[in-house]
Amino acid sequence: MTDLSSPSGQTRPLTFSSVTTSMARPEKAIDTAKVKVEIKDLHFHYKKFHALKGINLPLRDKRVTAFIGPSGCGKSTLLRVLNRIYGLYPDQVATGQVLVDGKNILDPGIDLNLLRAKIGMVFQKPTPFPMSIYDNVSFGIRLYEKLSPSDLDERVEQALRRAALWDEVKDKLRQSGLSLSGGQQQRLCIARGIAVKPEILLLDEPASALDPISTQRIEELIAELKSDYCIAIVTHNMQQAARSSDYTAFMYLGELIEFDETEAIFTRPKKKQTEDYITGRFG
Amino acid sequence: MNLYARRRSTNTLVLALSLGATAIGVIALAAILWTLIGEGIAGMSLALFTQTTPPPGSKGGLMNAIYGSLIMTGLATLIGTPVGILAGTYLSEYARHNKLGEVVRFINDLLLSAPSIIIGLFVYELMVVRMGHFSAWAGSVALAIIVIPVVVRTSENMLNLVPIALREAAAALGAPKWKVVVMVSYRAALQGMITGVMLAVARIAGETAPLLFTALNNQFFSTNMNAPMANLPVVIFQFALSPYTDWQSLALAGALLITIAILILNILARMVASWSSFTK
Repeated sequence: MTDLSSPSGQTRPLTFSSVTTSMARPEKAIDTAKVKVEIKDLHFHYKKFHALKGINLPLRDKRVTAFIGPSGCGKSTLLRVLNRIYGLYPDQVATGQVLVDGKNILDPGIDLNLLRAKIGMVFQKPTPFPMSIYDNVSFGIRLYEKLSPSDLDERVEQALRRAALWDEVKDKLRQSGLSLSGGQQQRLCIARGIAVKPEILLLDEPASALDPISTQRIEELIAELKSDYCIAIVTHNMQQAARSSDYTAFMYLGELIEFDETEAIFTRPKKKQTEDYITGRFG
Repeated sequence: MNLYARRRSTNTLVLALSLGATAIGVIALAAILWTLIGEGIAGMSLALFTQTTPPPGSKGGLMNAIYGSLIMTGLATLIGTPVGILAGTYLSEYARHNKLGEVVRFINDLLLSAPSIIIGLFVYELMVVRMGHFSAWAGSVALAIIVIPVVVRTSENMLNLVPIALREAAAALGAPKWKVVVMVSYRAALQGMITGVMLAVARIAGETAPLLFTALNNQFFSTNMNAPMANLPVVIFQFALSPYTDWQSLALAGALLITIAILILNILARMVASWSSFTK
């Protein structure tokens, strides 16, 4: 933990493009996808514990950004800042700036419920509500929209189709969400998250509690959803980050060590710590 | 081998002690039930439900006492349940870690273990003395005060069992706090909360002391909430202590009746607790 990067110079997120050119890969064009979320000098405290130390990071629209790093490095914390879900706990404080479409969501005046409606989140363990599959998906829609029953049916179907769950549940929409298998439950949670038409999706180790086949389906789903959302995913699984993300941020002890295109991180990391971690030699 | 033999004999000894302790409890309970059924069954008749408590030496039933118990228990549950659930909700959803929550929780635990006679005396001072007479209202309030801490405790415990992740998931969809509580936490904790209310009802069904100081008793059938009202526990108390055999047998029949009612409530509570509302 010696050479800690100081990413303060990373004002525009295009800095890594200089790396790609220097690595003599001219065919790689500069990413023109717009920056959806801009994290600037973000600090986070759990009571006295300084969990995030000056994070600077862009999240691009229609791209998947993976947060990797050992347990306790702050990657989940970072994710939980992005929809301010940490705000449920009074002793957790974030300072700095998180600009979503240019608007700082850490401002005290922000309507948290509206913000969260715009940002979907899927947790490590599937969290279906104790209600029917249909109600699970329509729960979020009903919060902010008044739809006719047929429109609501359509939205629920859309969301379930999008989450690649429709064919498995279309005949049992009235059954409890808890009656599904773990992998199905997680896809139900994704359906629930995208049913409210969010702009950003936050996935907190969405596949870590699932078997390999379900994991694969979730990964395919992420690849599919990428075309519409700005996706941030926390994962412990390096292969998963390599497979399913466009950008990767490696974090350690609350600091952002390295951020780059996923391919660059996994093939030619600039920092020794990153290399040690992705090759499994971390110590 | 020696080690294993020692462990095995320790195991046998502890098992025997546990079984012995269980047996003492079960035998005592069985003896009570045995006596109650043996003695009470004789007094069981239709008259029990259709006639009022008699003067000594004549025939009668417990109709007025059964009615009074139902009314006062029902009213107490009606008052105590919402208060208890709301307080339990406050403790679990809003004050899980703050000072006020700790204080309320501590006081509720005190109330939970307060002898019911003290609650009877409290309501006696609060209502009976001021109103100038015993009344069914006072009886209901006294019972409600016993219901509240039981419901607070069970509601809080059941809500605490609802995973935090479930609340976060609802909040992450943009649900305001109260909707998270009502639509997610309550739903997840519903069965446990219903069970808690039923156990509270079972608890007050047999309470005597609080009613002795509040509703007292009434020889006649009365629906007047502002007057003393007959109720099973106090009637059992009076009749069982009397020297008249027909009163004694009515007391035993009444005791059996309450026991059966409590048994049914407990069984229902268990059924609700194990009943999965989402299998359909």
